[in-house]
Amino acid sequence: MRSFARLITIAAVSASGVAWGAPAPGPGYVAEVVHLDGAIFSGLAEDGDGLLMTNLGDGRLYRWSASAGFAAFGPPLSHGVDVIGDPTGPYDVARYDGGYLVAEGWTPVDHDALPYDHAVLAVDDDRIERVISSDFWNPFRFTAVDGDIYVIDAARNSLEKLTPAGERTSLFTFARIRQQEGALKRLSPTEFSGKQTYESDAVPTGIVAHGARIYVSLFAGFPFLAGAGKIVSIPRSGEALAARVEREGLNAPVDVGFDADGGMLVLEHGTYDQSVGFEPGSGRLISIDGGGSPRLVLGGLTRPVSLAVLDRDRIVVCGLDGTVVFVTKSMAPQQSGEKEAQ
Amino acid sequence: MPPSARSSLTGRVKIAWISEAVAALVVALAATGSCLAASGDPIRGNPLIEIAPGPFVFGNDAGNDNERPRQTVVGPAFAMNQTEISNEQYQRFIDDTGHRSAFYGGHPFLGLGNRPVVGVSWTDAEAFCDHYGLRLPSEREYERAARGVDGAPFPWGAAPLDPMRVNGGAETCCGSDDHDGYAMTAPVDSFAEGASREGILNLVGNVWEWTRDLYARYDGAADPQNDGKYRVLRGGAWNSDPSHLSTTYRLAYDPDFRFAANGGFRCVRSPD
Repeated sequence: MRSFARLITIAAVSASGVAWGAPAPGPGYVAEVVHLDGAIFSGLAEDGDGLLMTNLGDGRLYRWSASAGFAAFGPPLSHGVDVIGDPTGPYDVARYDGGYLVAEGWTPVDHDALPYDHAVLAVDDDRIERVISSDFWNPFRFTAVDGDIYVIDAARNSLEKLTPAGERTSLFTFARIRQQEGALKRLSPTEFSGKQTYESDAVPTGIVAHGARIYVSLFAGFPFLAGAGKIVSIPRSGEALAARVEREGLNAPVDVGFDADGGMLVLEHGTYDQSVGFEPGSGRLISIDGGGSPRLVLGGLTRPVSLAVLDRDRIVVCGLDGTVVFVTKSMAPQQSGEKEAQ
Repeated sequence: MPPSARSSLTGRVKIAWISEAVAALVVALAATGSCLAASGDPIRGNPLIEIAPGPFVFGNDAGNDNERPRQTVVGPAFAMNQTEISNEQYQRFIDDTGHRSAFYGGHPFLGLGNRPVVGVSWTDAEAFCDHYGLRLPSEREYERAARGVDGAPFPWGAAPLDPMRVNGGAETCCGSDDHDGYAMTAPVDSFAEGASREGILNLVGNVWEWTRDLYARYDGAADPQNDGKYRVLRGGAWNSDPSHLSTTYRLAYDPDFRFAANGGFRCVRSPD
């Protein structure tokens, strides 16, 4: 099997040129959009009545509330573009142990290395309290549960377990994703014979703990074929010899969650066109109940990256285009509203 | 963030090229182009190097099926850019025309002004050349420039691949390495020791280069699945293994594909 193409693309999720999309709620939902100009949102978490998020555009942590809008806080964190041109910086944030837990990406290409790079950090409102561990390549998302921190490393393509004291254990490395036979031949007949099979990186992009398992969204690397992504799960305890495939046929999934009824929510980055890249408006949030057909919760998204379930009826999604979209269940006819950044 | 390509087959290569008289006429017409620099080179900083008319070896019986047959053909004079088109040169084109940016134009390494522009579709490349009254090279023009008249394996002759002559990749496909001094693209005027006899640089390595030809078999046999869909790139790139750092390897790709970090181009003044 071959694993790479003669012509290569190296910036899969670059934020350059991202335009503000026009989110459209699915049947039975209403959506409200807030937007922060220039922001490149990455991580997202519930925070009381508001939200926490990370902004790769300025390396800051942000709070958002309905009354106060967006407000930066915490220590300025290293940010910029990495060696392959993708934005790096504070990838994820959540409340933790009286302060905040932050996943910081690898060193920006034009910066000197810092001890805070490719690390999981404990921070407070003013400073970095400590480096819990920098023994990562590219910690992209985490979830904290029962005192442990489960981290997905988007360069190792692995799931790591981190204790509060900083001890890291590698739990699982995700196998490369086999591409559909012949699918790549459309791109190049000299490089991709219809008789050969190819694999792409299985990049972990989203993580959530649910019951006794950890669920991870896997984003299939170049050429980002539609339907190549999947959701897998691994038990929190015991040795995982294989990941259980929960759902296949997804379009570049970037996050996974569960609603109050236990239904799986998947945030898809969108479909990829060889001329335009990830097609504006092709991202969507879908609900998957058992083996049934996905149900659209929110469509028309451009470069979405994270989701959070706030309560029984509200889900929030943020994106590289600086938008945050609140989706609420409603029996009323569909509608959507927009609100300028505050 | 984690990591993280159409038209009827009318351009099948002719066995005999057009006459020198036609070539001279085209050169004269090109000289009236609105974008000519004072030196007569339309693209500032990237001179056109004259290639003499005459017979030359084209194709390779020792290569892949699609490189065969090796034959002697006759071509007219043409002129080819000495270097691949740089980001700086591409930016001037964008400034002049409002054309879309190269996908990697803002990349910290790939987007440097003196590096070859990458992240351009075949249509982008064609538009650039057309703006300057030029064209993308044909596969025959590429091979004549890169192999001389005797079908040499490399622009510099028969000596084996050498990191002093080529910006290539690792021994096995398709990873980069810096044994030649560059992990990714090198400045367009680098690797002087790898220049062709006429002084054209980086015809092998650095970036794959779009040609204007539609992909088709040289023997004229029909290939319904592929005919008319793909354009050909030549020369290998910074991440190519030795088997692809070749003057005869043919890389067919979807012409709409614009996300290649190792795909660029140069232009020719061509009579064909």
